[in-house]
Amino acid sequence: MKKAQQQHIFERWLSEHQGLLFKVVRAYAFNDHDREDLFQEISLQIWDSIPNFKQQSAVTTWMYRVALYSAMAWSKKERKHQDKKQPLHTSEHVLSSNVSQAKDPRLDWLYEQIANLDEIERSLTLLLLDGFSYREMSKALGISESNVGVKINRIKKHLASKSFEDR
Amino acid sequence: MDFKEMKVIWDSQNDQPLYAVDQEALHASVRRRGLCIEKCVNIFEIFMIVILMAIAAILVGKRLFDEQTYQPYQIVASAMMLVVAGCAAMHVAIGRFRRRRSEQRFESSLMGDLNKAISQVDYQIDRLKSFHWWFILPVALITALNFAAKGVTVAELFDSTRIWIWPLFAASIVVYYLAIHVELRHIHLPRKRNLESLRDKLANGTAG
Repeated sequence: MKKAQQQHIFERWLSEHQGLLFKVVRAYAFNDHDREDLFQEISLQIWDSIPNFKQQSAVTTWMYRVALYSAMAWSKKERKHQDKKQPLHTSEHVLSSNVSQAKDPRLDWLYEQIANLDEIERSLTLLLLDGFSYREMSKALGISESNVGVKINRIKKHLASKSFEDR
Repeated sequence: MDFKEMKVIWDSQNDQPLYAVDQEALHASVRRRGLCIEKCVNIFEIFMIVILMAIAAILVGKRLFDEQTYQPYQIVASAMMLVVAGCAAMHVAIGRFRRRRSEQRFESSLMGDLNKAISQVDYQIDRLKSFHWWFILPVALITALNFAAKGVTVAELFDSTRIWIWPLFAASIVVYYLAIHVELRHIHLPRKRNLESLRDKLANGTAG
């Protein structure tokens, strides 16, 4: 694949599906520095993986998969290096907060609950909330549909009980 | 709040992106970060192949230009240096080819990505653990053959003009051992454990 073609696909997919990347970033990174770092990491992984995209799945499913894997690997690495965190170079600021966005405290609560789940449950919750079917989740994650079902039931119960507790 | 309500709240963010992306800065970041991921492994392998071949070629080339007459043992030693370097470089190249081919077999899923990453870490661990076999030993053999081609005797290796080689040699072995040990213990083995833990969680939901 030529670089120009790769760049064109990258820009198009990023503009069309950046919302899903923001969700993953927000679910796995908890301050501006980390969100910036994770967003750049995911973008790099997507860029690198574009030539391997085989059109066996929808672009959103594929991007979710790449983003979730990058986020999990990043969060494991980041946890280990928390104490030695280096400030990002000033030219590295890629994200700027959208100030026009209205804050919904219930959405904040939801992200907080997602953040308290483990990495795998977090990924399933994002896919579930974004309306992926068990079959799509099973394909994206590479586990059986019954396994997805068991995990989803557990997550739903957990979120419901948290909602009840925090009411 | 039931799950349907959570979904409605979740969907509300779709129309209001959380961030604006600076495309130019993002491209710069992708280019910069991209320099050092998988490419590091490739560069390492190619670098090692080049070094092995270069050491042998320089030593043999020097001999061909410097010496006016050749003893048969010198020709044999020079040829053996090239053979040793060639075999070691071939070993690295075959390992590299196998690694790249095996990376194609992983399924296109998160589980496949994890398995691929674990396999890459295994490859790096294996390469580091066997570094002395495919790099240090060939370099040592080439050096020994070079001494043989020069007609240097064992006694001459320990005379006062060359005695400094041995402490240096011992120190480099210690540094080599420590570097390999530190890299394995602090980078590759923890990374492998993390990836395996994620894979187990994904498969069973039991690992911590």
